[in-house]
Amino acid sequence: MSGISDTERMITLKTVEGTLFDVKSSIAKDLKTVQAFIDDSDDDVTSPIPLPNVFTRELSRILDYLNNHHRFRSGIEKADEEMARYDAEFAKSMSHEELKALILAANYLNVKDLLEFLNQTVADVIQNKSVEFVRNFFGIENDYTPEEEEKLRNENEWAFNGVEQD
Amino acid sequence: MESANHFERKLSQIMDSGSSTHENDPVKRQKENNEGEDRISKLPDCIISRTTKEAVRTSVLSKEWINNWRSITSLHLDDIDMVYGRTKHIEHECFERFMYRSLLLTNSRLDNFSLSIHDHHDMFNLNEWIYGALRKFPKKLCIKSQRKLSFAFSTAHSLFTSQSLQELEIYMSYCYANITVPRSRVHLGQLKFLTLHEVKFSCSDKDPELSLPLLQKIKTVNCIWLGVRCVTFNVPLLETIDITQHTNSSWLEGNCKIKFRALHLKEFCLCDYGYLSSYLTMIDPSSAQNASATLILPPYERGVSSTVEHGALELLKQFSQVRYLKFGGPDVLAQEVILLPEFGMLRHLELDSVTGEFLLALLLKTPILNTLVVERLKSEYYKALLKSAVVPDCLRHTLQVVNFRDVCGDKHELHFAKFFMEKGSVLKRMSFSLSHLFVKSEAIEELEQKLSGLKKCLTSTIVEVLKEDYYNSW
Repeated sequence: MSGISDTERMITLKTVEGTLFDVKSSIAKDLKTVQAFIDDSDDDVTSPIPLPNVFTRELSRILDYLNNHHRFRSGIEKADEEMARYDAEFAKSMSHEELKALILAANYLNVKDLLEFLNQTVADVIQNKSVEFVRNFFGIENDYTPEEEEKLRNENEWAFNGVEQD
Repeated sequence: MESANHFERKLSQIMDSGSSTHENDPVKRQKENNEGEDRISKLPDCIISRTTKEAVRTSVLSKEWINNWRSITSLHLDDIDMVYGRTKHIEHECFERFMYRSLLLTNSRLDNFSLSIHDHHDMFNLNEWIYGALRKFPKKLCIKSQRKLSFAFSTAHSLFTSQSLQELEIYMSYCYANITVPRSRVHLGQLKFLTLHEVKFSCSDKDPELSLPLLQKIKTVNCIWLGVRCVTFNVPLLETIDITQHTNSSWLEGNCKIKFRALHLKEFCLCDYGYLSSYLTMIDPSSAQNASATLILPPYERGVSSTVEHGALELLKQFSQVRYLKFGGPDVLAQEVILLPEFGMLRHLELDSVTGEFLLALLLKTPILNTLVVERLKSEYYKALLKSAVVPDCLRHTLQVVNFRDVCGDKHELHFAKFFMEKGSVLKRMSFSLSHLFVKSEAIEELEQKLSGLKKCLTSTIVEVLKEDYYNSW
């Protein structure tokens, strides 16, 4: 417990597929869900922590993001530009499905900064898109009748100015 | 935000139970195995916290979404689309409806409200919207308008007694906003930043006092006080004052005094082409100690009223303890330079459009000056002037950096350069920035040659000629 500096400890995480990831405890701190688990177990975590809702692809991306951001933050001043570039690439590298899956995983693991970034990315994707697009993106079932929808749109006519048509 | 917290709580419930099933989550229970629903329940804030229009659009996604948009905490409304609309009348109505709905149906609290007006609206509506927004205790209020705005009594009263506002911005273009300040004591308990462009204030009280206990920065452009003798700002925490007057407002009734009761002013900036028709006073003279002051006046014209001279002098007397002074158009004080106070703490001085006479006279009043920047030096009788000039103390003991800007390589500039270099006992660096009109590189060399021939008091003084950066700080 005492005497061992935090940054040296490694935590092992296990994904749904059974893949093991060794993570520095300083990075694990950003995975608030994991950190809560560690805190609850009185710091005595030797066996791999199972993450039943997280797939390898997602955990790998999350760790990649966190590792890079830690690096940017601890480095020299210029990091802001680099970080922005990394973030842009990161967002672009994923399909919409992968983006959604990552949000679910990031939410489960409670990675605050990454979640905010992903939310912003999604918001950019759906900006000014038609209602149908947004429904498809999020898998929302339209339970309005055409008349109901028409009425609702009319009431908020102003909001639908300048939007992509369905 | 309400929705986000709601879902986060749900998640932590799941975590606490230590299980990965969704027994505790009613939302998830509703739609088993429907991944789409999961995603939505986690994303309300990302969709909703975009623009107001997009937030409202979500009501059409599905019945579950009909009211989610109401939890937004920012309202940003802009009628720009209406201006280019196909059918003006209908667009007008539908924008108004949207405004009223947004105000009526959203949360009882707002963080941020901004309204951008390009087209004509009924003044009653405009007031209702602003008043309605103020009733939601916003932290930030921003109004931009290209159309005239007159605040009704209730709107103005609500504005000047707001205990939630931290930032207030009113930007008018092409016209004024008319606001009557309520007669009773004005108190904006949380206001930190105030920005006003083209606002006309009137008050039935001749000497209104505005209490803004947390105000840090005030910036006004072309604001006028009508029918008022003296406005007092009680602003103990004020750090920055930034006032610009583009027009000559002396045609308005009388001159108005503006007083600031600030304790620790850091920055004062006055850019007044309106001939200083309002007198600015710092109630506590020591409040500007160690601050930086910038005063920009129009170029001196013969026959300018003596009120300008008097006003500028009075102002400078109040800022005699500043550490940094930037003075544009100082020639207006050419006759009064003897009356200028001593700037006992001044370390950095910048002058724009100044005569050699004024420069030398002022330097006698800046005993510990370290840096001097002079842009556009003019001088007619420089030879005689420099021959008989008293060497200022600062040149002997403290002046380390001198920078001449917008230099043309004229004789008087060289003579002044010679003066500084010969007498500057501690001069570390002397630089000349060529006017942007001189693009030829030969001009640099030519000037460098002339300068290298001059005798230096301190042999280690660096003398350099630079090409002027076109976008300089003035």
